[in-house]
Amino acid sequence: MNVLELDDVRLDLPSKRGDRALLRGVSLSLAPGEALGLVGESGSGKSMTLRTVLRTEPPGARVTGRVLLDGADVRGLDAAALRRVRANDVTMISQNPRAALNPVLRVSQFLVEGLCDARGESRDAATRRARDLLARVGIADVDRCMGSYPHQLSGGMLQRVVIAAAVASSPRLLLADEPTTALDVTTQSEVMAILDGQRREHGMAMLFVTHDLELASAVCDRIAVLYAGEIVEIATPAQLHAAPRHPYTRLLLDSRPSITARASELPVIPGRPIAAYEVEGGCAFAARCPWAAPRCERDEPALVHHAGRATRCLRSDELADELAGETPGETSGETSGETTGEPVRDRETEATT
Amino acid sequence: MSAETLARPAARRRGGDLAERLGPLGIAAAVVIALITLAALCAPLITSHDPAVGSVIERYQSPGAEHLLGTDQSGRDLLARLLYGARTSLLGAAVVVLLAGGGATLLALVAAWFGRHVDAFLGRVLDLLFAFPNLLLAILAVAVFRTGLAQVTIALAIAYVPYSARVLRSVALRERRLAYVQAAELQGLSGAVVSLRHILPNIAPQILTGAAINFGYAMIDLAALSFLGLGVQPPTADWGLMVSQGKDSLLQGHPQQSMYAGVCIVVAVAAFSVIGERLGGRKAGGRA
Amino acid sequence: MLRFVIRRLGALAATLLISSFLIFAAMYAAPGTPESFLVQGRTVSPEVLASIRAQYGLDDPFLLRYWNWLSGVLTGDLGESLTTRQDVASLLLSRIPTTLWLTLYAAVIIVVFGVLAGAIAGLRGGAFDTAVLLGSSVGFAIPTFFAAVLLMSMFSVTLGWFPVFGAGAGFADRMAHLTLPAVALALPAAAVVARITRTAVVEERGAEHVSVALARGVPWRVVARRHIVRNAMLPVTTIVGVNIAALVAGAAVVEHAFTLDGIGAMLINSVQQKDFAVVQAIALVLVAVFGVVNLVIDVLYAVIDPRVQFGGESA
Repeated sequence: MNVLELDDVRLDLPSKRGDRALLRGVSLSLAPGEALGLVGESGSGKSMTLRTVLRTEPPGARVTGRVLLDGADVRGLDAAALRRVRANDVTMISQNPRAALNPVLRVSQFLVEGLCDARGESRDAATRRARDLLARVGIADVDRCMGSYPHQLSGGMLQRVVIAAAVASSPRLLLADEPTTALDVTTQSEVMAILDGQRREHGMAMLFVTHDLELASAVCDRIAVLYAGEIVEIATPAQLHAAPRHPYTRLLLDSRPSITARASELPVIPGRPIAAYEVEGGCAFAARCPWAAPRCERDEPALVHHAGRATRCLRSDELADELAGETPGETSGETSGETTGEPVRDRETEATT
Repeated sequence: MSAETLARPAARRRGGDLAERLGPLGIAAAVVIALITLAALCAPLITSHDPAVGSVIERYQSPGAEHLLGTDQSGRDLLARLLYGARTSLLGAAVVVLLAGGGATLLALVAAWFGRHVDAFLGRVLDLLFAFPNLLLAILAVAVFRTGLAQVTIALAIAYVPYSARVLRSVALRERRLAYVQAAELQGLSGAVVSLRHILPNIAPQILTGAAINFGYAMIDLAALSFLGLGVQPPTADWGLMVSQGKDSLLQGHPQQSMYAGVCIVVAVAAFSVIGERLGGRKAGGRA
Repeated sequence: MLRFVIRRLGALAATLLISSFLIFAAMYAAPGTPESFLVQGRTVSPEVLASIRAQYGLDDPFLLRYWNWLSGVLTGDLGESLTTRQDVASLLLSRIPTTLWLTLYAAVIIVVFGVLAGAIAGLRGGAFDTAVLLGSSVGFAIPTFFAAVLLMSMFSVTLGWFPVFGAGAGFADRMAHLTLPAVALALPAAAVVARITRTAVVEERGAEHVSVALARGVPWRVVARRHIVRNAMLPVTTIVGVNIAALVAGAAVVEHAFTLDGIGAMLINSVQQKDFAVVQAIALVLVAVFGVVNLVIDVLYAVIDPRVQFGGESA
């Protein structure tokens, strides 16, 4: 059985100008021990997807659809059962460790609290475990770290503490929300390596949210690309890199600077990312898609599963070769022109009026 | 390049914006204040009674056609005393706010403009005044200046200056460091001109907010000093004095005078604090 | 820590020294000469007047008089009351218990009701929150003296539950006598404290570390106590302290209203009677107490917030 299964999860947030949809039907599944990357631009709904799992979405949000954890729907749990799930089965690592820790409590209190108050372990046992966990995430001076307040530690150290706390209960599922984004570049890879190592050691499944496709490719078994509150493509990193089937994935891959080849000009995805609530029928990406056909703005594409991967694009079959090509510019001068040229701008003005 | 082109728009608030900031409760508070002010101004038109003259035969009368709100222990008309008392209370508080605001603004501008030693010296002086509880400072000032409305307003204004000055000084100092002020200074404009033309308009919102908040405090403190017998002297009509004078009547079973005057103070103070809160966008803080 | 306290004590001593000079100078500059008060309008011969002036050292230069007074204060001699000819120090000592009990009582009310009501309002929300918000707005606008008169009218005159005047003897009697005055004194401050506490709790409730703790399965009760209320107490401590320090002077109004024989009422009487020897002594005592309370708050704040370093600046 899958550790986690999301079935048509929708999320609406009430605002002054009516409800705003942030998720428009997200479905995905996660096998035990599997790592799934959720990749997308800011506002695509990747963090919100993560938050529906532990029901930590913003107050007032309306969530529909099912979120199955080991087959049981977490959306229907009562407060006590939800707390047990949070304490034992699922943990979350957030973006900014400095905000995640109470500034006036010591690290030891933070670690012990998760074992003692949340899981009912004895204080002594919890303290011993906490020290052990800190040593395992590569903290040299455990004593000093245990007695420190958050403001006395670096971001990298703090995120290690958070990782130690996350794996402490040996949960079956780890939710990681851009766990390295707030860190210095030099400590990012170190912290990521510790996170990945701990995850494998404890055999945890992971839902990994990031805007960094390259990072997701390095640590995840599969990657789901989100755009405007829905998944547009799911595939393994190898499949994605070899042959993206969705135009958005293709453009995401192109917009990363390559370390092997130096580009004279970094391709940019035209237009601005639209939010889920701005979508009005048709393909959500049509307004920015260089390959968009008239029907793309009319018909809503479904997520089509095929050969171990899934794509949400009306033209994915006819474009298969073109999208898998080296770069759009090399395969066809015409499409290259469209990427930056007139048609795009036309669609944009249409979209805004 | 003229200094004007570098100047930031000073007045960020316009009429419609102000109404939005105040909100329904704030507008209601503004209406209440307007009504009280109007009643105070039109006191002779509303009542024909003299607030200071009464007849002992008419003492403790119940509300009726002749005396709408009844009479006090000396047979004076309570409505007249409330209306004329509003004059004293509002005028006194207004003078306190004006003096304290003016003094604090001057100190803030001087500290911000000269900086360094002058700023440090003024800071020390303010620190010293902070060592005195507000009310004690006012009471001591009364001891020096003697009792009476004019003296007591000066006393309170002195007690209020440190608090306003501390807030305004930091705002003025921030403004002083901005590029457009420095540019104006480099053009050779004098300190007074730059302070008044560029810094003052930009700290004006804070001055106004402080004034609105202080107005409520000033009403309470003035009334308290009158209640203590240190402020307005009988037979002048004053809300604080009325609460004080009504205390004995109250113990004899005639609570009207104290109640009317007290409720008037509460309503007026609440109205001013609502406006101050809305303008400042923050909650009323502590006082010392 | 110790160095921090010692440095602050030194600053307080300096402040007190300058304050004493200011107070003395203010009384010196005040209109009305002490001897005119002493003779009380009687016509006396210049010789008598001269002897009075000599007795009170009124002909000495200002600085010498200040020095004489200050050295007296430092040795516990606060001078002699001009009205009663009594020793000011012993007068003060006899009045201090009433004021002390009154302010302590009021402080307890502020902490218990203000903080508790604010915290519950912030945690629970709903009708109680609305009630606290409304109550604090009204409570804040009620002047202490009017609250005193209101309470007196309701609970002493109408209901007869509490004595109207006097401070009482013995603990229980004293508490009964001081209940209404303490409530009146605490009311505006409790309203402010409740409001600030509520805001702090609501703000803290939205902090990320709170949702993180909840997402880790830490029970709500523990999160509310350890993460929300504890953190919210940091800003609240300062506000509570400032308000308690202000009671020192505010007590004068309540003592006057309830005719309690505290030092506040004595200050008012002395100002009215121009008994400057008493006024300057009380003023100095109040400034000292005010300074000490503020110092205690600062030390307390530094103790409960680990981010504050004892150098004074926060990390």
